[in-house]
Amino acid sequence: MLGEAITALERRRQGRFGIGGDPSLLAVVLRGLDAAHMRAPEWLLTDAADVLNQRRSSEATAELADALARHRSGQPLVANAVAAAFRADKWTDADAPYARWWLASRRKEVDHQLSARAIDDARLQALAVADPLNGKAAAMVLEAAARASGELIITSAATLSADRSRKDRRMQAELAGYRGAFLSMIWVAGLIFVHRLAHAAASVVSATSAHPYRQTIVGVLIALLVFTVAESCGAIAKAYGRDQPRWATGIEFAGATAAGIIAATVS
Amino acid sequence: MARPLQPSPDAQATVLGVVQRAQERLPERDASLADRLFVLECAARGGRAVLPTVERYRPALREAEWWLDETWEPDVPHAAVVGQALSAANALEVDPPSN
Repeated sequence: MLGEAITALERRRQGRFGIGGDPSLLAVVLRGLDAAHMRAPEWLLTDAADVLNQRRSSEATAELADALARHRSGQPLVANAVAAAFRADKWTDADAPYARWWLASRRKEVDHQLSARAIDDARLQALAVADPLNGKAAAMVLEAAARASGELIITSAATLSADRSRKDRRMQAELAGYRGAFLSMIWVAGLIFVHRLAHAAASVVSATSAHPYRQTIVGVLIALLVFTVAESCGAIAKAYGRDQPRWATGIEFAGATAAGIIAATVS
Repeated sequence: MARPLQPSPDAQATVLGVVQRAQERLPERDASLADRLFVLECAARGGRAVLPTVERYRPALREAEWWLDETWEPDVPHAAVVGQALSAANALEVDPPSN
């Protein structure tokens, strides 16, 4: 049936009884084609592109954006359609927030085309007013709100912000810990293979004894190890809001140097 | 281990209040078939919270099937109804109106 109708409508495309100029009709036909696993004909997409350049309600444009997003060949038009549905600064209508929230809740593609703020605004306005004028807008807000039931959370901005910053702090501390552990492993590996390293260094400069090289390498590696551990502890403390005092940084350098010298002397 | 955020009762009440108000504005029985089928599709995609709405508008699908069988012409009103009926049937995961 739909294929037959599409063929007939293509012939009447430019006439009074065509569907070209009506975004809702274009959307319903595109939805039907998708449900029937049929490709959207080129002329339908051309008409959709033309409609998107005209001034239409957000509701009709949102419907068209959703329908276009269902077809691979309609993808190039989706960004335009989404932008047209969310173009609040140029024109708007009372039912626009419902259509926008509906489109954002139905189509993940919208996330790539719009800022989170635009979607949040649409949801906020839809929830705040919740008084759609026409039946289609009511159906749209019904779907979006029903999908959101069980997902939305009302909390204070301060609580949410504290929760987020707690997570951020933990992540920063973990990263500092991993970084410190990785570097420490390298220094420890150097200490394990210190004899080979010392012999390699001595053979490069044709030295008779590898002992001074071993002492130097042990001293440097121990100093680096102490410094890495101290620096990691400082970074973890900083992630939790406890900035390291300047004297502690000085002790870090001095302690690392002293540890290196002592290690070099006793090795 | 961070405690996962739970949907709050306030949010649930707000959203369900919106669902209730939207139901009051849905097209009546005398609205066009395409509009009622659109509501059916939206309700079907809305999930379990609006299952009663799905049942309220489900007869529109049978009505569309009858209307298309009895009066079929390849024109705009029929194309709109067949397109929307296919889409609604797809959302409901039922067999589409017979061709």
